[in-house]
Amino acid sequence: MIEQNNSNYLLEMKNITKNFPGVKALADISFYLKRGEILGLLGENGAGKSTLIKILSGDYSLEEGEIFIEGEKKVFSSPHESIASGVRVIYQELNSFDSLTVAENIFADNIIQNRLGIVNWKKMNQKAKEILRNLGSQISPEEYVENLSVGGKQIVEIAKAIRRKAKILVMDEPTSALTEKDVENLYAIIRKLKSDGVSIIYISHRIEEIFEITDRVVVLRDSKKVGEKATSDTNRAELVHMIVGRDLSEQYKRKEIKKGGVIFEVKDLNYLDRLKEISFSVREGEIVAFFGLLGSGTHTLFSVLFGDKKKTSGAVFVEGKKVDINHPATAKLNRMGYIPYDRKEEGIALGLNVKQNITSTNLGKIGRGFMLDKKIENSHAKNWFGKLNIKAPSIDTPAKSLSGGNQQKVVVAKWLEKNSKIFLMSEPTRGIDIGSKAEIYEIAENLCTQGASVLIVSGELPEILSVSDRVIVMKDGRIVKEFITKNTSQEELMHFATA
Amino acid sequence: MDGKSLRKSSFKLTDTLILFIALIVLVVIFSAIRVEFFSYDNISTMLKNMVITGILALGLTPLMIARGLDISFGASISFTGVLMAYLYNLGFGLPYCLILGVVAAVLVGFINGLLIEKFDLIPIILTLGMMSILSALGLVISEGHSLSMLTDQLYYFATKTFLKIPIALFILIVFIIIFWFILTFTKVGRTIYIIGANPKVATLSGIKVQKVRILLYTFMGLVAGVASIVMVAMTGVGNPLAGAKMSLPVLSAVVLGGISLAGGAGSVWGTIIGVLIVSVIFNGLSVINVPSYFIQVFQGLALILIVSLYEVRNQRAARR
Amino acid sequence: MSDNDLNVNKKSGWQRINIFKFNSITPSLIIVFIIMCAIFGGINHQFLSFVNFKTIISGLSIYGMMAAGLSFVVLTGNFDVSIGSIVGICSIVMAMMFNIKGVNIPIPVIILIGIVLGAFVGALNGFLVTVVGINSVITTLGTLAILRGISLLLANKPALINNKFYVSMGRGFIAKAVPYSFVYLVVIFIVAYLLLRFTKFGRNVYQVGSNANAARLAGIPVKRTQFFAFVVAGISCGISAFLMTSQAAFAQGEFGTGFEFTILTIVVLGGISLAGGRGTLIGVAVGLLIINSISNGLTMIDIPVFWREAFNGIILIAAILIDSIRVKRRELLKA
Repeated sequence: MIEQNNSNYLLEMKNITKNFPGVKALADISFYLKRGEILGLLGENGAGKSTLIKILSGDYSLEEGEIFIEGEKKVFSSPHESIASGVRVIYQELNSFDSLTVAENIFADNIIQNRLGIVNWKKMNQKAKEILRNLGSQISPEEYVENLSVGGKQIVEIAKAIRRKAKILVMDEPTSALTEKDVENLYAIIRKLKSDGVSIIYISHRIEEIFEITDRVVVLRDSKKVGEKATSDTNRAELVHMIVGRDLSEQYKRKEIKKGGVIFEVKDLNYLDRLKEISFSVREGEIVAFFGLLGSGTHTLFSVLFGDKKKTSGAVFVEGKKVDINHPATAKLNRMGYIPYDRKEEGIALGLNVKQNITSTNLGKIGRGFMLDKKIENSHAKNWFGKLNIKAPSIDTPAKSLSGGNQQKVVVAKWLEKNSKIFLMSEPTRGIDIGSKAEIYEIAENLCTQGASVLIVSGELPEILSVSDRVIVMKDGRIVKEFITKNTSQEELMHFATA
Repeated sequence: MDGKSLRKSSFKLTDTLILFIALIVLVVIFSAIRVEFFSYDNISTMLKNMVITGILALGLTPLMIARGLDISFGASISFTGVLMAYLYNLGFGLPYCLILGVVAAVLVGFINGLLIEKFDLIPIILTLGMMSILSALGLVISEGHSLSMLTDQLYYFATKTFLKIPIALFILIVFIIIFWFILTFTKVGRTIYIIGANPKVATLSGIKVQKVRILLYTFMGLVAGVASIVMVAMTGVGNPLAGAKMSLPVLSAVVLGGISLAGGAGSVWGTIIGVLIVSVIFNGLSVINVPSYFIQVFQGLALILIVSLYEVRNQRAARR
Repeated sequence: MSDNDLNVNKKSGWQRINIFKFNSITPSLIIVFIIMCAIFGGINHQFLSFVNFKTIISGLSIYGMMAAGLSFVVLTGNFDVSIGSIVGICSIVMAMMFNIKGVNIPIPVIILIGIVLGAFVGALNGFLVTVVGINSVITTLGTLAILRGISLLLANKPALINNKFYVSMGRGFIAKAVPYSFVYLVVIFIVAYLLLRFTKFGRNVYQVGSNANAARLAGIPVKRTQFFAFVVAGISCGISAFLMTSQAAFAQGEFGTGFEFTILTIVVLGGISLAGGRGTLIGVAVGLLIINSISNGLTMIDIPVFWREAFNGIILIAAILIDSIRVKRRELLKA
């Protein structure tokens, strides 16, 4: 029951709607925040949390709806304005000056000077120390930020954020890179802030944290607000249900494909402290999904498997043979293909055109000896152009003119060209329109029909349920549990991913 | 989203076209001030002098497309020239001297590439350091003098013409053809462009970017070696200071021709026109009796002007 | 709340070697310097004599002042290879001021003109880099050529300086022991250090170099900071020009040619990271001492002149290798 009494609330966002070309990001979302309240904001990837926060911070423009802070209507046209109104957002990517000290980072936008314009280090260090001690942290203001752990850096960010009277602090997935001890520290800081009258919007997918620290919870799903409860009035199952519960009628229908023998096996793979004892196997014709929330290590896993990062220990077997994949070239040799998470920076070369991208993995076959045969190149490119239904004027179109979906198809074509057998796809349908998504699922299926295997990292549970044969859930760099897709549910998967 | 594709390719064509027009304009201006500029003798001299700059600029082209950089080639030329002359004066046969010189240059290029790629060093600084080492070595071997190296074969090479074209120019033409061929028609050339477009994508496509770049640095060494032979042939000496002032004109030529320090795109034709422009400026100003030390002012101005134009154009394109 | 906040990851074997330690390279540099002096002194005792010490000290200033100025530019993450040419043109212009027929310009004004000219050229560099957006390497390569050419042109006229007082400013000694030039150097270094450490501009320099994007988000004027860094470099060249012309008592078109290389070596050796945002003038001071002492020491132990240039090259390469390894270490710890 949302009370419409404005002046009691610190923050109120009413009927917020936001559209991006072709995509509805937020649909009529309203919520409020009381003074000294910690509000948890939950939702899957793409549910709308980031967009909502960016509107609050002034990074995105408000399309429809209103924002009230302390009863006053506000319109923010830049982040600076929201900061002036007491809104502070701490993002995932910490923007710090690593080579400088903690104090200097905290006062970056407002160096303490005396009347003559001389920097007063003593005062700055002192004040920084005060702020830090207030937060309960023992970090020295004279320590260099690069020497701090991630937890330490985050505390510095918090200190920076609250230095000038913050009323509303938004923390976006603050614990994804923290150790347990750091998380405890963070809780203490948050409680202290609360007692000082600061309100906090706490975005996290870690449900145990929500129960630990928040007073109330708001759940977003598919751009709408689907639930709002006092934390003490709900439980894990209910929250999970709110996050994922949806009508699954409109789904991609899978074909049944015969599976072959084990084609890819990983045993006890470790990578620094980010991946621990990863073991699994994949059979011919299988589509195996990897599901994990932020910080779970799914993307890192694929990077390591493809040789972009060097594993610390463990063994990988391709078709029964042990292989040492230290460089993508080796992975390529072992008939692996990789569709990276960052399409624009790592998947496709925007400075080249479609056919140049497609043939970039297989130059060896495009002509004899040293020569590049343009005719062969054209025919190969046209082949995939047609088969994958790439929508572009021609194979000579510059890659940057293509839509996201078609760019992704070009990336897939790259590896089809190389006749890969083991495809690693890192969130291949992220940010792509529905039509292209379906096409990519079809492509994946066809690959499997021909005996290939597809490993796919996905953040979208409906996608996982409709496309994959098996699901491997990861959390904190480990595999938590494996499922046979048709025997599990969105809620069960989410439960284990957030356990 | 589709109409833009055509505009981009004509953009590139316009680039080269504009440069070409600039070149013509310069030639016209100089010829107007001094008719002798456009004489057979003068053009011939200019083209001959262009050979070394041209070879070096061509060598830099694939390297810079792949986002590498080397400014030690001038010192490499000096050092190699001195080395060859020194060995020749010790009595070694001409072929041996030339081959050893080239091998030395290739080795230097290889070391450059190895250090830069394996240790992730900033190319301009590493090659700057290498430049001073080579320069010093050249001075040490030659004890500060120019060492003479006059042979009939080299003399022939430097002075004779074939079909009225100086022989040295043929070398440049051969180079142009080779580089154009490699970059446009071979797999290696395509690989270079892919690396230039996005090194990360190239790596993830299975290309061993480090290895390719080391190869390009080594190749640049080879190019410097060849240029050194041409220089020794033309001047008759191994001069430890010969290459010192080469970095600016060559780098200017390449940058003028459209290859930015950030790498990515570029073509042999752009580079050649860049070389032509730089050479015309140098030669033209000499003909109108501008003292040689002052010519660099114009080269510097031309460099800054044209790169400014590129920048302004890029910024406008980005805003669209 | 605990010291877990400082939880720095474990160090492996080679990472414990001093020179790879993060944050300050200065202690290692001092050690290197001492070892070096020991070596040179061991081969030729004269190296450690007071007279030689005086010689070294006297020769520090010109390079030193320029190094202090260049540090500002490198700290913001840019390059300036035109500093040698800036010295050249300022020298010529100042010398010319002494020789204008019938006009007697007071010395302070001449010095001021020199410095202002340096500032102006620096501003030109800054403008091209920040406003037009040309890469700093190309820009300063261009201005290097332009200024050098102009200097050589202007130097056609004789540029002797007959003013005894002016000359004594550069060549004089305090109590026959401490050169004036050294005093200027110390003053410049102190001023530069204070600027970097205690002014908003100085802190902005570090911030822009450390993380230009974060600086922008924090409202720091990135372009303006970079611009003024170039101006500072230009000013330092103007001051060096004053010293050079004073000590030489004339100016020549080639003054300053090739300086940029040695000065860059000093700056990099002194710990100013090419990535920006890191390093102090104290390190640069030690780097300056080391480079000059090496030059002096090599002479003392009779190494031929030509080898010395090679040494500087080797030192530069060694310095960037070390810098690169330190960066790699940092990256590894971050991951």
